[in-house]
Amino acid sequence: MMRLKSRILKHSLLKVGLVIFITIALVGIFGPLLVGSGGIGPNLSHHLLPPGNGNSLGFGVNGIDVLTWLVYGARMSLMISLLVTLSSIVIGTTVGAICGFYGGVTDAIAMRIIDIVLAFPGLLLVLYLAAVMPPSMFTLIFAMSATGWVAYARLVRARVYEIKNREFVVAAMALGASSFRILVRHILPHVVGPVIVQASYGLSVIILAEASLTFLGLGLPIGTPSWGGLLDQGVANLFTAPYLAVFPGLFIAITVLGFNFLGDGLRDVLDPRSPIN
Amino acid sequence: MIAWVILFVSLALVLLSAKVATNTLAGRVISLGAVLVGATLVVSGSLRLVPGDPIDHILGDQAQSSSRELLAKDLGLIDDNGKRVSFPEQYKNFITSLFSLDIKSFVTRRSTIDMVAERLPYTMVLALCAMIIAVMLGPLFGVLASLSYRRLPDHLFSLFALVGISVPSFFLGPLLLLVFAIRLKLLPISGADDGFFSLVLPSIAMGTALAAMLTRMSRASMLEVLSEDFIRTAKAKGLAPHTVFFKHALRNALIPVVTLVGLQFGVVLAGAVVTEKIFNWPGLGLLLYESIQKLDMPLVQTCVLVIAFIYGLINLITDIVYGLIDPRISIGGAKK
Repeated sequence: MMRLKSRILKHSLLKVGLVIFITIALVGIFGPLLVGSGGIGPNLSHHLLPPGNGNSLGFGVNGIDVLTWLVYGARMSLMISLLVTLSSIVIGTTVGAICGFYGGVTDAIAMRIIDIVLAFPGLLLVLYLAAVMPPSMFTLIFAMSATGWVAYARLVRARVYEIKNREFVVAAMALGASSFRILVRHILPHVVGPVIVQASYGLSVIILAEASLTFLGLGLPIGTPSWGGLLDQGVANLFTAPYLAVFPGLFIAITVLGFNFLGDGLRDVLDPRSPIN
Repeated sequence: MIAWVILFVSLALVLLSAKVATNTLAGRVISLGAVLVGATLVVSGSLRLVPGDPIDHILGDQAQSSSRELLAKDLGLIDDNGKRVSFPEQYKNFITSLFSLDIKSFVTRRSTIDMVAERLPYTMVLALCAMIIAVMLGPLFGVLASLSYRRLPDHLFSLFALVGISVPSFFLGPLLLLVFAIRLKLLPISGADDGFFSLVLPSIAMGTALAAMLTRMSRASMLEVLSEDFIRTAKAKGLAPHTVFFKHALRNALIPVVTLVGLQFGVVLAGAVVTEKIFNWPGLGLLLYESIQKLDMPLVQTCVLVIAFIYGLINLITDIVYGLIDPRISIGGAKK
């Protein structure tokens, strides 16, 4: 454990990623307490007032406060991406572990379902699911988890399949351990590393997806503070209020960059084959 | 009865195709067909499977029962006598209208296939331009970075790769518009009326992330190949550096890059929704966006299936090309 900690501290990219992640998390957790919820709703006298001159970061369409929306948006983005990642990991790991360990008909059927989900490139299936459901936070989480588990299932299945024939598993079997015990106590611990790496990339993908969907009017209901919603206003008012697009865009880009750093760093630290070990 | 047979056959096709050998061309085609049949099942079944009632969502819960009935009929959820249609029946109707190319938009009452066919060329041109930018820059940057490993150019190209992946097109797009269209007034702001000039900004907005991804991939791939034994052997037997580089290293390093290009083309098609909305580019993505806004479900379904179909086709082509450039893999039974 000590070695892992010192390896993390030696990796500069990972440190930058961690700092960005912690900063955004702190903004999301404590920011709303500092700025208050007064600026979420409309205030027509402030319609599209630019930043500066005591306007903090400016105002959006109908006078929503940009700073308030950015801070609440951070909370929304992190909450949604953590929930989606968590549910994707639970579903994906369960399916992947069962398929990789037992194989057979279950495996064949699950693999076909995964093929079908993967037949829709990029955000297409999420877009479609979100289009047939009313816009809400639940819709977003449902649509993104319904497609997000696939990556984890494939990853875990491949790892479990690779590990289940190793000597220590055979030894546990010979000692009479039940297959459930072997799977949970002996095999799954070896899957944790790759899943964590995948999750940190996954978080950035989901933050982008959530913002794109909200930007397209498919994500959160109108009036919910979010980065994507702010960007949408910015693009619609690019002539008069470009800051509306720039601020949330910067937040999204920096957060995604942070998660990518985190993913790269964790991969280096957790992968035994990587050169720094 | 026929409906149950169709549903059963579709499901059987999807499941049994798992047993088809995918190292032959015919196997690949069958597998692709089965996956696409599965996609129609998902698209048609989602109307029932997702939580909540799509009719409530489209009309709002205050709608009159007569308009609810009309919509349910249009969606194929109830029949002419007002009776609820079972899923096999609904799926049969969906498949028949799909194969007879006879799906009508709610809004325009025109054939959705015609509407998609009108918009598709615009998206293809845009996607192709984005791909050209990415394919010209990505591998070049990646190879240059690998040749200057851990020196300044490498760091710069790697930084470009990381930032390019992280900056979403819906941020880069507005930035490009702000600088080149609004401040400098060099390029048109939106639409496709100015021919080539209209294409420049959307293709850059779309191609940058792709170029970044290809940079990353080709750098990693190049570094891996350069450290392999056969490169050392080639150098040791006194081959000229450029022969080692072009004939031995580059050719092998670009193999995984080709796969990524094929896979990314589909992602570009799906990502066109966002880029085309920003630049008001009249392609398939904008059509999908508009149809979602108007909750024109038949049009949404057609757009989604067409994109999935093109994506599958391009992956098939990539697999075949892959077999041509990598002698270790053969698809279509070609023996060497």
